Amino acid sequence: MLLFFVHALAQRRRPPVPLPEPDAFSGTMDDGKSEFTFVRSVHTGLGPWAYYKGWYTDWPKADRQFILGIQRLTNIGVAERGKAIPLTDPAIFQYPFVYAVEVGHLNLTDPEAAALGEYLRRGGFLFCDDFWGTWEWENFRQNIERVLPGKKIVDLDLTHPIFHCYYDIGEIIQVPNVGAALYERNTHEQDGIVPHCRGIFDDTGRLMVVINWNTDLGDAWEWADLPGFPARYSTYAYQMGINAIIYAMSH
Amino acid sequence: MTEIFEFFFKYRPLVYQKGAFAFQAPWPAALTWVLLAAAIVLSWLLYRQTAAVFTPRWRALFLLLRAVPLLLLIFIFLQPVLLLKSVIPQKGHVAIAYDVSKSMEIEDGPGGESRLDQVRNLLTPGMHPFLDELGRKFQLRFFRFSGQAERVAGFEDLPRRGNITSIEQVLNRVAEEMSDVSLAGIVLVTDGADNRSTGLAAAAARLRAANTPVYPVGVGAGSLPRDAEILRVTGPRKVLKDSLIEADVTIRSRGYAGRKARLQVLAGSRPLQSTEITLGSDGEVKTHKVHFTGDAAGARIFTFRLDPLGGEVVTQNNENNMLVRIEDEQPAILYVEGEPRWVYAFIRRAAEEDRNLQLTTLLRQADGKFLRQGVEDASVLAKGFPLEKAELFRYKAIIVGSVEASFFSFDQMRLISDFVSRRGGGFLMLGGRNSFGQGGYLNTPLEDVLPVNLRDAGGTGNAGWRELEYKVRLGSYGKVHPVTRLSMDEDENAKRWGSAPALVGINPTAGVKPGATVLLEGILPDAQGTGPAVLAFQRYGRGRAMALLTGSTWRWRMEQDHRDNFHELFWRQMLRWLVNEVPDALALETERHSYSLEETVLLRAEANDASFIPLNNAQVNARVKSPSGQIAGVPLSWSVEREGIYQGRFKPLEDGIHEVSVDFDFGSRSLGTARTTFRVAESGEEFRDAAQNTRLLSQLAGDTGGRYYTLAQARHLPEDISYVESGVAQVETRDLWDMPAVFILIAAAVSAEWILRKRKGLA
Repeated sequence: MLLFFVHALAQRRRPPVPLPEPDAFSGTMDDGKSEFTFVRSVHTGLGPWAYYKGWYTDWPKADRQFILGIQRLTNIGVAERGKAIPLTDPAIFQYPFVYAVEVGHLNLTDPEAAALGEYLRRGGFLFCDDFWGTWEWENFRQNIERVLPGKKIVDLDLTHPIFHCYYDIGEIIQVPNVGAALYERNTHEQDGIVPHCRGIFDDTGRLMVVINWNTDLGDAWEWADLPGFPARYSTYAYQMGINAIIYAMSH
Repeated sequence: MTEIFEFFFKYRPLVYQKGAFAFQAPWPAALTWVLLAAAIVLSWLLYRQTAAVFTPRWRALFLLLRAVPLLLLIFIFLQPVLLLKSVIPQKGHVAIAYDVSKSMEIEDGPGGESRLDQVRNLLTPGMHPFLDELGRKFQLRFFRFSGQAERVAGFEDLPRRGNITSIEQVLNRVAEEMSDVSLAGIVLVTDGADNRSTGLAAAAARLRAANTPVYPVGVGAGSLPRDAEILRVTGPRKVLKDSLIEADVTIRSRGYAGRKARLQVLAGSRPLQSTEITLGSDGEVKTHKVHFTGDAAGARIFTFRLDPLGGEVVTQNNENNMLVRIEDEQPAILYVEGEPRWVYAFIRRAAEEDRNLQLTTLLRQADGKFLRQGVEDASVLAKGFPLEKAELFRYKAIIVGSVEASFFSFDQMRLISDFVSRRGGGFLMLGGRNSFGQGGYLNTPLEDVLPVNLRDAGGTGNAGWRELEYKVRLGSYGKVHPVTRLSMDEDENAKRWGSAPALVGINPTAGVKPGATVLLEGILPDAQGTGPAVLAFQRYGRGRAMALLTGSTWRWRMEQDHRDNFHELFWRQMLRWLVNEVPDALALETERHSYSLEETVLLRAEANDASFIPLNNAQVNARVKSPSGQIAGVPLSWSVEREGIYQGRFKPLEDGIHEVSVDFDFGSRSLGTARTTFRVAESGEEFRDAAQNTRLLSQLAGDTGGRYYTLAQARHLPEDISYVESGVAQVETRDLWDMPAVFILIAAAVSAEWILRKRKGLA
């Protein structure tokens, strides 16, 4: 009964968390005219854990470090600073790739769900990361069902081009949070033992949503400069992130 | 004028031209001089006594008025005559060739009589003095003609009139058939609406050399007072399935200046498109662009129909046809991109949804790292951008994205240039930080290919990539061009472009090259007058080159509702335009898409190897499949005039669409097959440009030493034609003493003298 109550409380929709303001973190906003700008989705999360697991997790350092990686490792004309854009902001349509974190705690409003659905149908690409276990999965599934009603979520086979369009990725690795990575504790969180890379395709067969479940690529981007952070995790996180961008920009 | 001359001088000017003037006086010549002198002296004597009354000037006038009648009387008694050499009856021959083509059905004669009815009246014995008179002087031979000529016994109509007219053909035929007899001339009864002669001047010169004049008798009105006609429809012979087809419909109208008319496009009886057009001023020829889609593969006939207007004499010319072969194939396009860009992904997505396009892409993801997509097997582009002609020329279009010139070797850029100019391929350069002048294409073979000038006023072309936001507007041709035509309705199209999201980034250029066409121009905040070209194209050799000076068209997809197909349509039309009409290495075509049964079809095949080097010693054999399923073999032989061109002729025997396939063999190796289609049908061609062509007929008469006659003047023809300047002839004498002009002059002189004498008090 208590569990049910807690769960019901958690499912209540709350307005987007007012803190922190995206611009306060991004400093001078990017002019939006670079070929690629790393954009983070600003969306409504669940309470009362909103301050703990919100859209801004690992932000902005993860984004900045990942952008440096894109600059260093590819030919992409990437904007030096990323952006955090609310899903309901029409400006999001100027950026066909968006990164969403802690999607296990999504609590999308109807306008957000509609805007994200329209974004994806127009050709946008959503890269989801850092959510764990059955409960968060179920919450994510319910939210994405409102975004793309009737669309199936499928496990991506390792032969899929997203694993080979830039780097050849032969294994889906569970990237733990920084604490677990540094102190070699269990790599999983909650009951998310097995990492998955799942996807949603549009009617033409284009992969438009990539869901990294039971793994935390953002932490690996954020802490890749930490001498003790295992290269195995950061390498995978960078490769997977870059492959996703290359895939979105070539398919 | 001729009639007035004939009234005063008894005969027409031609008789005076042909004849020699002479007197047949019954007395000796000396007596004539005596009489003349006596007349003058007598006149002087009569007015001698009036010297005191008149001034010398008045006296001279009276003297003249008295002398003129006397002199004219002497002229009459001298018996003036014209001596004419005329043919000996029935010794010479005259060929009468009359036109039985469809244009002779036009009812523009007096009382709505058809042209052919008028010819029937002229050439039916007993109905018109023309034929009887001519028959008395000459032996007559009749020829009936339209596209071909045939010998007939007299005037004979045809149940099925000819679809074409060739005056050249009939003149040659008559000259050939009558070569062994004395031919005094050819009477050509026609409206002159010739639509097939190609060597009429040469035929006329041969007749002139053979001293065989042509006497055209023109039938039909010189101009149709109220008429609107579709003169021709031009468009692609071959398009990809579901492509937007652009046809140029050329319309001429008289008597309907400024009137609105409805122009329809039909596929069979199914209306595809209807548009309202404004007719031009009298005789003005206007070309209207019409767009429609061919959805089903195969040979399709599209009919263009102008709704009849009130008072039109000829409505048969309100319709015209176009045969288009709609191909369900996948031409290959190569797209090379120098960096991951959104435009790359969005073009690929637009192309992927079009199953009639095969887009092969090469994307440089990082230095030395490439992604190949849309390749059939691992060997394709394995070494990067093609180095050999055969590898590159298998594509029908090339797209170069934001990739700097130094990415290509000089030879590769020459290959691309040859790809456009010689192979006839389509080329598109996309805007970006590393394309056009900003990509270092100045002073490269691709600089010439591009429709924009990279070199600025200083000759450097150093202007940098401009990263600003701007909207675009359609150039004048962009409103109707198949790439930028996103709606059949022109207003709707303009509206869609007006609301298109802004683009970001443009490659500055020094404007478009002369002859290039701007489809889109940018509305830049700092531009004055017309903005810079954003989309422009030009022909380059056999091919076409397009420049799109931005790489941000993906914004048209992301910033418009997902149900709006603006971006997809634009790109599919762009890619299809790039490959449409690009020739294959092995090609087959006919001169026209439509023929009549009287005509011979010229099959023209082109054989090239994979590098588009012409092959002159291939074995080329065509098979023509008629609508009834009969197959006829036609061997094609190398035309010495052009490398790699083979020709053969086929005479169709039935109406309908004929399928032609040609097998190309080189030694024991089969090179492949090419196909085309042509149609055999009764056409409305005869009704186009169907007014009597008096200019052509007069010219023909002049060139051969003959004379042009209207139908009304035709009664004089037998007489005119009977006078000859040389050869076996008889001399005919025509009296001139009784011509009215002489008597009128005598009466005038006597009357004037009487009146003047009365006024001066002498009578």
